[in-house]
Amino acid sequence: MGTDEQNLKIALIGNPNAGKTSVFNRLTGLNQTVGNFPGVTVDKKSGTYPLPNGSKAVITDLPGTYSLYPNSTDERIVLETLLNQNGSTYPDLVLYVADVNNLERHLVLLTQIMDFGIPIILLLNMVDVAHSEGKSCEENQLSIKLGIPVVKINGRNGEGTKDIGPVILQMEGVNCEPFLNVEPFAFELENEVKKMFGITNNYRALLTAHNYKNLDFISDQESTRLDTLITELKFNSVGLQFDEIMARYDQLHPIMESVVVHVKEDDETKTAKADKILTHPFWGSLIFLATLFVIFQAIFAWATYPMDLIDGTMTSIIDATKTMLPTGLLSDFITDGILAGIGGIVIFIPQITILFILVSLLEEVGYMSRAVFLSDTLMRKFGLNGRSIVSLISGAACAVPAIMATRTISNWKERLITIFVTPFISCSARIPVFAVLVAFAVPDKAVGGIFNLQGLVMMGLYLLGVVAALGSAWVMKLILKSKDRSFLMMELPTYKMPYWKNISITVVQKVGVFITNAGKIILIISMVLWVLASFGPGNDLEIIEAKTRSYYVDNTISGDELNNIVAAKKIEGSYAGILGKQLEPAIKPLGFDWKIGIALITSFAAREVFISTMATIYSVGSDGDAESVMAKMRQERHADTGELVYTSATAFSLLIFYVLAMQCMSTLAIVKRETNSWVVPMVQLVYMTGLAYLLSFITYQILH
Amino acid sequence: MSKSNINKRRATDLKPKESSIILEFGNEEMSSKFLEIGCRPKSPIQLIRKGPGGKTMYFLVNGHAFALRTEEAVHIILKY
Repeated sequence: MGTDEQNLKIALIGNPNAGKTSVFNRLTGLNQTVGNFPGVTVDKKSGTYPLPNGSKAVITDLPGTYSLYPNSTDERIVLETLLNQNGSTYPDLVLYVADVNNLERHLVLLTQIMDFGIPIILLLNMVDVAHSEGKSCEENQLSIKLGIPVVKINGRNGEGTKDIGPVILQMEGVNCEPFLNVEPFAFELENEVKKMFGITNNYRALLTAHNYKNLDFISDQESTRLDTLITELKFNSVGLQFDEIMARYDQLHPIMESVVVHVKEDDETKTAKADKILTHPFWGSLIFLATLFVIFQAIFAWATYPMDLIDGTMTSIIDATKTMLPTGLLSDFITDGILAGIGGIVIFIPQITILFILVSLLEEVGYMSRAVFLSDTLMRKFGLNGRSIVSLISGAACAVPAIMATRTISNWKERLITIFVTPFISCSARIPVFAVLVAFAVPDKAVGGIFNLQGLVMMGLYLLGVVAALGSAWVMKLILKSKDRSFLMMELPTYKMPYWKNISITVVQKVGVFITNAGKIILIISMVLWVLASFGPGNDLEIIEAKTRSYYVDNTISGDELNNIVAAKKIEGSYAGILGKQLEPAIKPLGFDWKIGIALITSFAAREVFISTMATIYSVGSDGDAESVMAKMRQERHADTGELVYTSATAFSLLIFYVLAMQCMSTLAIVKRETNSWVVPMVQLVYMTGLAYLLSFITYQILH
Repeated sequence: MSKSNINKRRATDLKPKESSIILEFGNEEMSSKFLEIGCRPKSPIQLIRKGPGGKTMYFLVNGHAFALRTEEAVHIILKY
């Protein structure tokens, strides 16, 4: 992307639902990178845009916000970026996207940014939509009245976007005249703040006084000084915010009257008609449930085909690598450590991709905000917000992206509870474990003619996850105290045809973020586990191997079978085996032996590793299929008592454990990143695993 | 800003399909949030319907659709 210093830095700003993302995708295409804003966890999307004079601009897509008085982490970024003149993301120029259909409201934020004096260009978006609804806008008049360049564009078909480049070149370095005179609002305080920070701009000073408690670049010392000033000068922040925004509307209103032409009154639009059904308390809820059903169907049924394909491909790659490389530690490390780890990551890609496609499709057409509206009342009973529904749905694929989706929840208590309970929703990594154990413990027979008993138990396990999530949320609601006001207050945008380019870019980026965040951890843990399972104290493993081979020396078993038995004996003597045995006394009351103990440890990479670990332990080879593992498990007896290890009591106990326990390193890492401390992930680890232990214990003791 | 909050007609008093005009806001902290989303004094407001459970409301303000909770909408005070 070249060095940031040489390129013109452009910030793309606008209200939510202004069509900013379409414009961003139009301007930068696939030349986008996702990074982080310094110090915070909000994704920073940047892309390069070629200017007509041959140089390049770097455009950063800032989160959509209504004003410079932020409610959520996302919105705070916009303020912080504009206020911190020494920050690495401080823009040379602002491209402001506004929706013509809702122009007056969209221009409030524009006028706030104008008051900073930063060069700014107004992009009037979705011109054709406005025309069909009977609104049109005299952009030349608007440009004269606001004193800034105005470009009419259509983010969806790209119309007008080629006109932006030349205007950027004209505007470079041309500071904007303030729109509103903010001096009278807090004259004395503004002057004090200006002196304190060595700035000259009144609005910059005023906003610093309003928001200093939420700004990272303000030092504690400066903050204390501002506290004193604000008390001394009786600065009424809340009241002045209202007065300021009202003053902006008062000044904008006559301009709007003269430039926006209403051709005809809006009659009952398509959106209103659709919402009659889609937001209906009964029919709307039913459609929402049906939508959820389709999402789950997609994740479970449709994703199996590409997953089987990936599974098969990975197995052949591993086999091919094994034959290509000379046998030995290096070959084992590459195949069982690295390649198995990579396989553990790519296997999730189909489900996650399908989920992201559906979720961004629902967002793109405008349905997601209706889902939030429909579920808010129910969610609030459990201390959550309507917006939590997006995370809970995403959690069915993977908790990592689901937890990242909580950023739109402005109330920290609701956001924290959502982060805390989302991992209870059964993610795709649990499916293979469920499938094996359910097939093991539950007979494959029909119930009531149409249902399959195994299917019903699977559904019961998912419900258990949902109940655990909502129940825990309810308990947390009672424990956590928060003075922050909780908001629903949400725009319900008009329904739009999906713009596939937006969806595909979003999906590619989100899958990319998953691979780099979760993938990295899965790969590292896979390698660490390989080391634990391949080495033991001293030369124990060599002794075990030699002993085993000499024991079977006269037997007529095949070379493969012998190798599998050796592998099983070696894992028993390895560090992983030792850990499993040390764990055994603790998990014995749940019906688990040390072999399951090893599998519980290896599941920390990703839960589905359970299957391959059991395959190794039961000497069917690490790429052994689920059926041969199950056949071995059926015969397994406790060494001391001779009783069968895998009774249905053990299987159910293990199932409950996998539904509830926090066994995912990637999730813990993302929770740490989103909450900025290890406290929440550690509490989550102890709580979830404790609950799993307790319920598995009860299950086993009752069924046993 | 209103001084006495009793006997005022509020957005929560609207019946489905009923329209009115916003007079002012009854809560200082919420009022700037209302302004940001385009709800402001003199704006026409119509209740479209209530959500499941009756705790959320679907409004049309200046022709644009919004979802509010009843405890948010109660701070919108209507003319007369």
